[in-house]
Amino acid sequence: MNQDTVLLMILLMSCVVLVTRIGGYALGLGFQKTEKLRGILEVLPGCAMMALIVPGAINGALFEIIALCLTSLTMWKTGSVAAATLLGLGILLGSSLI
Amino acid sequence: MFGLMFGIAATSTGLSRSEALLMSAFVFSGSVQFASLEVWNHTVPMTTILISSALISSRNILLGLALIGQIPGRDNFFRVLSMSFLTDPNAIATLKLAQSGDTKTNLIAYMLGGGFILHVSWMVGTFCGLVFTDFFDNDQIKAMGFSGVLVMSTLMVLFAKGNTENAFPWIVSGVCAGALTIYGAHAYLIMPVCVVAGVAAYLLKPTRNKPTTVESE
Repeated sequence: MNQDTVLLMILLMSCVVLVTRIGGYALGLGFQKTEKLRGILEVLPGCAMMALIVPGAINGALFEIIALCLTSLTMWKTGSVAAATLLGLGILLGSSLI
Repeated sequence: MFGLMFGIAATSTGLSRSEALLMSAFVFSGSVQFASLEVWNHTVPMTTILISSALISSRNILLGLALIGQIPGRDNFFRVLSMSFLTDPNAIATLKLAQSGDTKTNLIAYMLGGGFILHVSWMVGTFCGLVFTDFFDNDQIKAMGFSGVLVMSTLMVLFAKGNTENAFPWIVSGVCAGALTIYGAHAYLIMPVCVVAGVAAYLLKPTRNKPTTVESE
């Protein structure tokens, strides 16, 4: 991407995020929230994240897959973002030395 | 921590320092920024990045809906301004305070101040991450390029721990993404197809019958 495109992309992304931030509040003033809508909104981000994590894992090298598994496991067990991400980062850095 | 990781991931993706800082300043959303880096260098249309940003930040709509009725007052300008700093920790802290019955604290100011502090720490974290990469050579920076996926996996674990009921649609979306990747589908197709599959799985999932209580009878 050239610099103009990058800047345009950043600007458009910030607009999209801003619309969702203010939009929820604005929507709630005029709409009756239903259980179904609430459920869909809870499910959407996770589905989108899975669509990015899984291809990354499949296309990843062995060390990257190991780092991913250990990071997720550490996060699940300890709930510490710092411990999980530092462990993953350590594995990635270690793999570059081998 | 996420800010630091974003700085590292942005460098390995090829973003310049000013671009990474600009993205943190304007977008100010960890999950959206990491997700965009994942497809940044692929030949995907701009709309794919924007659609994935909208899908991931759709959680903000839920947070906004939860804050309805909790933030009193009639000053719409400050309401909108405080909502523009909306993040998970900020919204949860504001909701907790609102539900505690504290009438002395101005909730709009509380949310605005909290959001501003988070924004500053996000920017400082990004800057530290960008500086951190100076200590490594190109091979090591390239190896750290996978850190975006790692951070997204920790966010996914946070989602899953907080809401195990939604595991089924997420698994369906993941299986779909795996199948499409192995099949060799283009990156811009994977996201919408998986999201549609996940939402369809949620809508088609049989709902458990709630036990009948004396009160409901």
